[in-house]
Amino acid sequence: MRLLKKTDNLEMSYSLKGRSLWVDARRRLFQNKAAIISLFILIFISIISVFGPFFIQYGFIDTDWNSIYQPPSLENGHYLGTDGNGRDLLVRILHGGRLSLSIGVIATFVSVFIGVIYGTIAGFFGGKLDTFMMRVVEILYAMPYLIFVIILMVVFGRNIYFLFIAIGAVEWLTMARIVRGQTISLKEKEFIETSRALGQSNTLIIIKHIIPNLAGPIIVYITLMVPSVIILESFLSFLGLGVQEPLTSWGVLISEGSREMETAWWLLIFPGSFMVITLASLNFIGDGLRDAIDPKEY
Amino acid sequence: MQSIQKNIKNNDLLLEVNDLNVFFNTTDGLIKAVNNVNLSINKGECLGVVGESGSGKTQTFFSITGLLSNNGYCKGSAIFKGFDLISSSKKERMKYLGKSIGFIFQDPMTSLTPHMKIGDQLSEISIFHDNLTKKEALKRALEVLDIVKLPKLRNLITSYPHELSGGMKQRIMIAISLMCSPELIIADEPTTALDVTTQSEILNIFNDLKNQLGISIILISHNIGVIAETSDNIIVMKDGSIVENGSTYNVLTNPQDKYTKLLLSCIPPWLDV
Repeated sequence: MRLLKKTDNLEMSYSLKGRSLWVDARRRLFQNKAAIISLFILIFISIISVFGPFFIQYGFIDTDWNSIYQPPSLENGHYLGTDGNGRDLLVRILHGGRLSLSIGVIATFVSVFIGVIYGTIAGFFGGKLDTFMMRVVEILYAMPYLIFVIILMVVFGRNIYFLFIAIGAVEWLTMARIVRGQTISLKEKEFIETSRALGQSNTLIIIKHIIPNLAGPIIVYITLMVPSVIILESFLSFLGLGVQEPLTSWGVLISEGSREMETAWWLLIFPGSFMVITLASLNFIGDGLRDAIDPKEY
Repeated sequence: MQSIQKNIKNNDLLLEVNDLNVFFNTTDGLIKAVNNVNLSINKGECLGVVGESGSGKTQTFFSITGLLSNNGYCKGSAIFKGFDLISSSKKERMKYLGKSIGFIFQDPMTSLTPHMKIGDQLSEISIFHDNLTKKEALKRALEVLDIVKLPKLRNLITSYPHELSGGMKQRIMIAISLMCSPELIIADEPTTALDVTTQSEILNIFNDLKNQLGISIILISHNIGVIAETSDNIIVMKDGSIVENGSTYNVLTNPQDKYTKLLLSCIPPWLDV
């Protein structure tokens, strides 16, 4: 802050640049060291998952008959060792990372998409429509989601795209509830009434005035949902319902590694630590974002 | 009543409300909030509506503009330039709301969407009603800011509502309702949330709108002082009915109804109306 000098004309006081809520939130986020370190770790893991396999001499399905169950070594290029089929673990972890992260992101966006639309419609229009829509959500909640996913996988076959859809279809319920609650409190606000008095259509009010105001909780929820989706995928893969050979994901690698952990510890430790680090980073980022976007929670 | 009868023959008639009743379905049964209200307003005229809290003055105009809450419904007619706002469908009514009829709310602090820049909020309404491009709408926004006596600065257009003071926000609200050159502005207690000096500035703007742009204004307030300063005609409401109406001068100097007398006796004697 500096005092206005005589030479400053009065218009100067208006020339301060407007600072939006997002700029404030970003500043608060950057002050959170844990969140920023996690963000860099997450970016690093994503980049090596996407580009790493191009720089490794082994393909993710190539078997090296000379080195089966080989512990990590620097000499022959199997830095994280090999599995029982002589496949390089590092490249498999990176390939698995591609799949796990993309399932995490895509399934989350599927569920956010469904959840936000469903929740805003139920919350905004209210009344009987709201009652009906929320009863549907409650019925789906009551169904054991594992059975739901298993039925989906059995009916539609073990296709990886159905895995995305199945997980997304299970996870949107909570999103819909959160969004509905927020919408109900938002639609009573005066600025919604103002838009209505100025003759705007419901669709425009929802798109321009309600959904942007929901962005905070939605973004926070996304960062917390990605890890839960990754865990769900790992769990399904662990049960043999998820990703099929020769494709792999972290869940599959952990499931295979756990069977052989007494003889080949590296098969469990390395995929496990990749997954733990990713999930922990995502959770830290989620916490940081929540504090940044909604500072009154401090 | 006679003054209203006279107005019907007048060609300058802008809005005419006949036998308006507003009901609310509550858990305690049906409640009648507005009882047989008749009123009319001419072009370039300011109508003041006074009454205590809960007298139905806000609900009267909410029902005309279709803003009643879900458990409310209304009967009667509200003819705006030959178009009945009450019996029409929502889609048809929306062509008038915001375009020919502007609405200003009580609390400017919460009436602006917090995440949108002022310029976006101003231009939004013109883009929607007049199919202007964003550029044209922003140009119009700068013109309108001049009318409400805000500095025509780009920086104001790109700032957020939380960066402005209450008086500035209320002027932005007036500016938003002016974007499509309306013929009628309904202001629901526009000065209640503001301090006295800001109040008089806002009332000056209303006077300018009326005198220079010929916009009719309906000013709803529980503050007789505010009404006396701007209105040509006045309506006093109590318990959902109109107890007295007439020109501002007549009603304030020679009140006929007991309630109006009581209302006027509440004003400290040194306030000369």
